[in-house]
Amino acid sequence: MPETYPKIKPQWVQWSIIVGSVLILEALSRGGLIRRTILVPPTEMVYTLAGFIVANQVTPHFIRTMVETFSSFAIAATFGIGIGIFFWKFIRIGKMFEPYIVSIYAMPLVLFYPLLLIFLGLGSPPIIFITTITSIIPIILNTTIGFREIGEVLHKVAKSNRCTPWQTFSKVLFPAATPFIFTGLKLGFIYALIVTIGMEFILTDLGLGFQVHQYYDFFNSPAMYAYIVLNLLIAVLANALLFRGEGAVRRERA
Amino acid sequence: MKDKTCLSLWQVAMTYNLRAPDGTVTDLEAIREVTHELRMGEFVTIIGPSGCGKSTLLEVIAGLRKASGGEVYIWDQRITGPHPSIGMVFQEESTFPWRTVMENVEFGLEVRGVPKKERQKTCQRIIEIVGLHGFENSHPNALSGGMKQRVAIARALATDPEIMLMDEPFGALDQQTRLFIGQELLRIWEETGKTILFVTHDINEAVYLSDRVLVMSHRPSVVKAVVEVDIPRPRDTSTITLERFHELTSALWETLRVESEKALGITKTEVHI
Amino acid sequence: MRAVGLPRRVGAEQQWVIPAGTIVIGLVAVILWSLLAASPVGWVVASPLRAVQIMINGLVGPNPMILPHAVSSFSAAFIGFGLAIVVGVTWGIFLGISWYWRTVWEPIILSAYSIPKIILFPIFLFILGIGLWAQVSMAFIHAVFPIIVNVMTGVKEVNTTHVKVGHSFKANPWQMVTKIYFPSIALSLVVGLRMGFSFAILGVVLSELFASREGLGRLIMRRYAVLDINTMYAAILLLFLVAFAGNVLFWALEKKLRGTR
Repeated sequence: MPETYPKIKPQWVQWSIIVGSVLILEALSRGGLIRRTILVPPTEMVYTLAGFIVANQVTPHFIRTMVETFSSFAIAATFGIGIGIFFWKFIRIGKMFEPYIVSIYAMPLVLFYPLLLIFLGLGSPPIIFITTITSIIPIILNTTIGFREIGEVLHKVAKSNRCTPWQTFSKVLFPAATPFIFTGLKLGFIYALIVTIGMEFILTDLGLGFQVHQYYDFFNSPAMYAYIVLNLLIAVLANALLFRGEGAVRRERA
Repeated sequence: MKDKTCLSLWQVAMTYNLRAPDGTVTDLEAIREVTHELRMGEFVTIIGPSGCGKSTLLEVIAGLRKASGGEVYIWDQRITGPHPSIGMVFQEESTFPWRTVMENVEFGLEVRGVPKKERQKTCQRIIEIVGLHGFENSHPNALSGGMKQRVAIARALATDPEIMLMDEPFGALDQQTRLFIGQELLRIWEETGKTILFVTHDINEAVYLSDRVLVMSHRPSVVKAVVEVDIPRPRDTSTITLERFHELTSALWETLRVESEKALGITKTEVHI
Repeated sequence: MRAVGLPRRVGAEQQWVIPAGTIVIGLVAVILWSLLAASPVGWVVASPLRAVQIMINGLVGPNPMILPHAVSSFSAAFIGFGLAIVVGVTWGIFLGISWYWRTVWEPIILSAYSIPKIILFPIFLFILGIGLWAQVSMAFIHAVFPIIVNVMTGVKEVNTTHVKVGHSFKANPWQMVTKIYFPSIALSLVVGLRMGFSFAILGVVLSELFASREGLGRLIMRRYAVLDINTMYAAILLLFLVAFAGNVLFWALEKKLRGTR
């Protein structure tokens, strides 16, 4: 049956929900219904954050988090696409690895941190290592699916035009798999960001994730919330940009 | 020139080994024997019940599959793989969505290493022949199904093949569009002088387009009848109202009916190839 | 058509080659693990055999030191996962059905999916205090988004012709749900459940590393602090086995459902 829905534009409702929630939090906190140590008013979170930014206090942490995220993602993208293609070419080997590949998400790899400390030392390398492993999974899976889903007919077009194996790959198969690969890269980047921040939060001494932990330990709620807000904003922004990019890639193809 | 044989099929046969998921293998004889010759510039259509191996035969000629028996010659060269003088248009949507119309048409020449300037000149001419002028920079997703097939035809024409193989290229289009794009195809054919081997399951289309129609039997298939279409050219969409057109289509249907019944009778137990 | 000749049985190896390969890969991993344990870094890696022994002892032995932690972690994970199923499936169906509310909520939910949820843990600690429910909250918040998103996608993509067929046969609402909608969304649902399950366990363990009264994450950290590597690895092994088993179970179901369409 056809849906009857409110006359208001959904975008308006969406923004009302977001703004409304912020206002409610503000009211609850300012009105004293929730203690300020538990819930800092959102305006104060933003104010504190702005103060940190102006005082240049955020920069080293921001750089650290970004370096970790981007280096993990770069490694994951390079190897992930390669492994994905390998698993497509050697389909049986791919299927043999499949149960492990799909289960890696479920494994708290952070538990190997002590071991990684020995091999990679303190600081970023162990974080980059664990982040890479998480980020590479969707890239591998989507690359393999992307190549596997290419219609028989495109292979035939390549063959009947007598493409060399390299031409078949570079001019037909790879471009045909691109939308899937892009989805893999999008997820890979989002996971890289989540895992980096998460690991910083749990174990290190620098980075945006760590700042939340630190100010929690200092009982400094406004500062802690300020950094939570910053982390959330970065994740949401990255997500929105990547979705746009994905939409653009797919629109051109669809 | 018109009398010179350019494509000969000699006792082409095809038997598949079908493998079930449990590992059992069954032999399936799809094509028993097809022998036929095409002269330069002819338009020949193959018609037959579904699953009779029409597409398979075309793919054998295109060098995309190895026949299990017999030989295919283009002039006096035996075909063992894709041949530069053969262009193919597929039934499925096969344009590259990531390339513009121009880039799609350029594909074959690009693969052969023809310089960009030169191939764009050739392709511009082909694009005009197939009636896509003004859409050079569009992506296929902006085009209708009929126009996408024109792109595929142009892509096959661009390398200037002697023979065009067309595997139900208009199968996904509605009846009226088919009729008009058929008329266009006849015009393109006359303008370029290609030899066309066309596969369809539509009797009207077969009679409307071709010089000769081969009727294939149900599996294991053989050429059951060869019908010369003596309707004068040029033909257009009004051809289908001619008395002779009806005589020929009725005659074809009589031959085809028996085979189609055989085909339908067993489709339920059939395995997809 | 007549098939010529008798069916032959060849190529039946395919049936076992892949599972066998999977097992070989697992064995190679265990061997590498053993080598690592025997190497100079062995002081932070317990041998697989030791880990299994201690795990079994710790679970069913006379003095089960792992058991209470396992019970704590897994009950938190399962309660959180259970709540996430209830909330996720309800929301997923609602948003899948209504174009309007999907348009409103989808960007918000996808954004929430992409945030590092663990950094919200301090807030939950403020509200719920340290203990089981803090971990439950983390399991829930990690598990709920993949479930919503997958169920929503599943419902959205139900074939409308199938729905019309159902109505044309005058199927009642219950029959519509059980005979048309459920079979249509089963696959997406299972995908969502698999991811939700994985993330629930992850959420519990990560949050236990940060702050908890008991649980496998906390046990692992404490044992590492006193360099009781054997117990640490026994707990890690238990965690991995449960996560792996659950994942593979859902995944097998997923493959089965995929096979039928």
